[in-house]
Amino acid sequence: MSEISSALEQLRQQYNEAPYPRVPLEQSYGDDLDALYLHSFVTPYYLVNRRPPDGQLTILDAGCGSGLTTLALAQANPGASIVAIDISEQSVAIARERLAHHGFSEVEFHAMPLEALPELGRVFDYINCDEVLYILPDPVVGLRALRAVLATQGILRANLHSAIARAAVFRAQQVFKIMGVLGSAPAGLAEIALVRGMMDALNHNTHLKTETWIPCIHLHDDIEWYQMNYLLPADKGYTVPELFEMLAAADLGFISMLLWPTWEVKYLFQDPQHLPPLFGSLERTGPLERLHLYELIHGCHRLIDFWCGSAGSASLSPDDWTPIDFEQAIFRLHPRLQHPRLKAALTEAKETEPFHLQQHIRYPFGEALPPVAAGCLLALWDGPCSFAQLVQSGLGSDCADIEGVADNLRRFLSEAERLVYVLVE
Amino acid sequence: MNSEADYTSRIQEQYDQAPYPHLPINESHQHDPNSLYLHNYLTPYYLRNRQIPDTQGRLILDAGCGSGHSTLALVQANPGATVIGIDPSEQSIDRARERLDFHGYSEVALHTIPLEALPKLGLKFDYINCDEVLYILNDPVVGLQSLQSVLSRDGILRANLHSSIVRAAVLRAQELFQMLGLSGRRSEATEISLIRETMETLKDGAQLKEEAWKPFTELQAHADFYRMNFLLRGDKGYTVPQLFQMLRETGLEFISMLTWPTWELRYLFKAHQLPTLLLETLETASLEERLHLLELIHSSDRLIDFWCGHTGANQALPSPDYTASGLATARLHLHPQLRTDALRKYLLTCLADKKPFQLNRYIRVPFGEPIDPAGIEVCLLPLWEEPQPYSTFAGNWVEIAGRRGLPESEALAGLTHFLEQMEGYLYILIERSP
Repeated sequence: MSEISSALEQLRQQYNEAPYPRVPLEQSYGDDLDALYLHSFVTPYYLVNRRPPDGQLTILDAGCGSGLTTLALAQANPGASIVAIDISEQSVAIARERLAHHGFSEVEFHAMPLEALPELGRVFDYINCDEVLYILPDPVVGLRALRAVLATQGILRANLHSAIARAAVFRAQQVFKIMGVLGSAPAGLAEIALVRGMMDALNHNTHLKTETWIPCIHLHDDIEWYQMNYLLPADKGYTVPELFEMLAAADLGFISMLLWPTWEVKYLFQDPQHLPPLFGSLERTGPLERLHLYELIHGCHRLIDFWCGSAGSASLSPDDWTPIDFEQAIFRLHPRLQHPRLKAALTEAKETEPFHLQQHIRYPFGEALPPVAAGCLLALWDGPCSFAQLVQSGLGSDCADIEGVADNLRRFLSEAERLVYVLVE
Repeated sequence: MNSEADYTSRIQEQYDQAPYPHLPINESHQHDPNSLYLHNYLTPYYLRNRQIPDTQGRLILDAGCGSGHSTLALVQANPGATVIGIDPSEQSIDRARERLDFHGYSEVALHTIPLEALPKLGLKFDYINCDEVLYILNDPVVGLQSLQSVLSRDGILRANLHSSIVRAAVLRAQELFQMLGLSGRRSEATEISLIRETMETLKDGAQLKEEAWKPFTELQAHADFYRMNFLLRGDKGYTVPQLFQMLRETGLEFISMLTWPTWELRYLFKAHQLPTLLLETLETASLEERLHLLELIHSSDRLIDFWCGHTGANQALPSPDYTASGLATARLHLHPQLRTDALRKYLLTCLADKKPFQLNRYIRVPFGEPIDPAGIEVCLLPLWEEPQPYSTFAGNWVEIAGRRGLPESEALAGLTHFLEQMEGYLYILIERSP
């Protein structure tokens, strides 16, 4: 126990010394559709429930650091009641300042460790716990604390470092541990200079240099890059099976990866429509197997970044979409896409001309959507629409080719729902 | 216990089906100085004790001899020694028997027994070779314990583990194909073609393809490549600290890596210059830490291939003295694997054609820096006849250097450097008077 509390004390000191991330107060997500989409509770909620959430929303940012994620949550979830905590008082002070600067003075901050969360006596619909778990002495303890304050239908977003993608960085950390540069004390400029000297002195073809140093030449002057990589104390890596074990131990159930299309095994093959025979039953395997297959073949994600909920709470599988009943359905735009910038772009485009939505939002990096008439999307600004209304809005004044517009729109809406750009009732 | 037995029988089955290595029976080590040098008991013994051992009548064990390729190397590298081979796979032992008989070594005894049964032989071995075995055992420590129990007090064990760093991608591929159901239910040929199809249809840039497939284009047509990599059962990877932990648990002590110069940190740095902080670290670092630092910075060898002996058998040797006074009564020997007609002929050709004598064209292990005898290689010739007193050798050296216009002091400095290098790689062995 004392070992754990001393580890937490180290974390507190480390982040008091260098609140993370070091980003100017002015930075805003107000116009960043990707960040708004990803931090909006609507996105994971729709994946699980196939309907938008209703009622007053309570959000926790667990390990808010200097408040950049808290700001994203506040901007992505207007009207939500937000609590943010961090073990470092210094970080909390900056976060409070950041949120006040952007007019979110009602956000409630506490300097406290995850383990103390139940003392708040509250539960949350959405918890964001970004870049935290992997530096805890035991992530399961952290997950259990989060689980304890998660509402019954609540959703938790958290992430772990990947043992595969980050293997070379972990080796570098080990080197600097042996050399006494990476210790319990927070890393300052002296330590960074030692790391730089060491990496510079290495031959260009040594694996450590080709894997961790050369690909990041643009970061060699960035203090935070050293602190978050070579000199990050207590950093640990995990695999997908380990994540699933942790979730089970904390009585949580996996929902989806944040950027789920980037974890699809089929995209690793030259022809995603025709996989080799060994992958024939891929569709029938569960998320654990499929995600693990992905990381074994291509460990490219530094973060295993996921949404989860209480075990067994997911009513629908994010992989399992039913065809849309176009006669009955009512369509809405994801509320964060209902953004003045997107509206301006749509208005600028001619109503009947094909509009490429993915030029304006890239997350979650799905397959290319068919272009759609700008008029169809614009119609959604005035409220939910039926399929017939959308078709009408996409037609030019000559009303030609109604079948072509409808066909195209059907394909677009089916694909756009799977990326949670369009919500279907 | 049952699962342990299951494990052992699954491993054995894979070697019964395909005795390893799958090499032609007529392949000999007689003309392979690299293999003979590494399989010669003298090499690790001299490395540890800096003394030339008496090799006559030594007892050598090849533990996990497979199809007998390494057994043959041990026999050919250690004339006068008695070699025994064991392997749990009957098919492998049959192949090894055939191989040794073919080369005229019918007296070599071979036993179909697992490592655990070694103590029953009631023998103690001076040298044990255990190549490509430990990492497929369920618990390498159990294997090392058996080997330790039959190693003579002064004996040396050569063994190896797979590196988890170098082999990471192959180990991931093994896990992948196991998840995909390649567990031996289908024929080997079917499994191989399924692997090929998977790897070939992956996009370029997929890490598994880049790391575990593309570097091996020339091997992709051979079943052995799949057997020993993607389909190898029981394969595991280790790091240097894990190796040292295993040795501690079994009362064994590390002596050296087989190709020790490739484990020297300075070769990883520009102009061989280590940063000051690293130099300071190394002043107090253990051998284990040095080797671990190296593998963390740059690992390229699939194997962590090492010699070890009983704990306490390593002696603290004074750092060698290569000056004329230090070597006054010493005698110089050529390593027996260099004292060959082939190398002598090469030296004579170089002398006749006035071409540089590039020793490393003949022998590459242990992969050190190239040796340049600076035009004085003719002095080496008498070493083929018999060991030379240092004084005679140095006299010759100074005289020949003098003819080339070098003053005695410079010639002696050159000799010191030459002997330091030659003994460093054990090409010349120095018999120092007690």
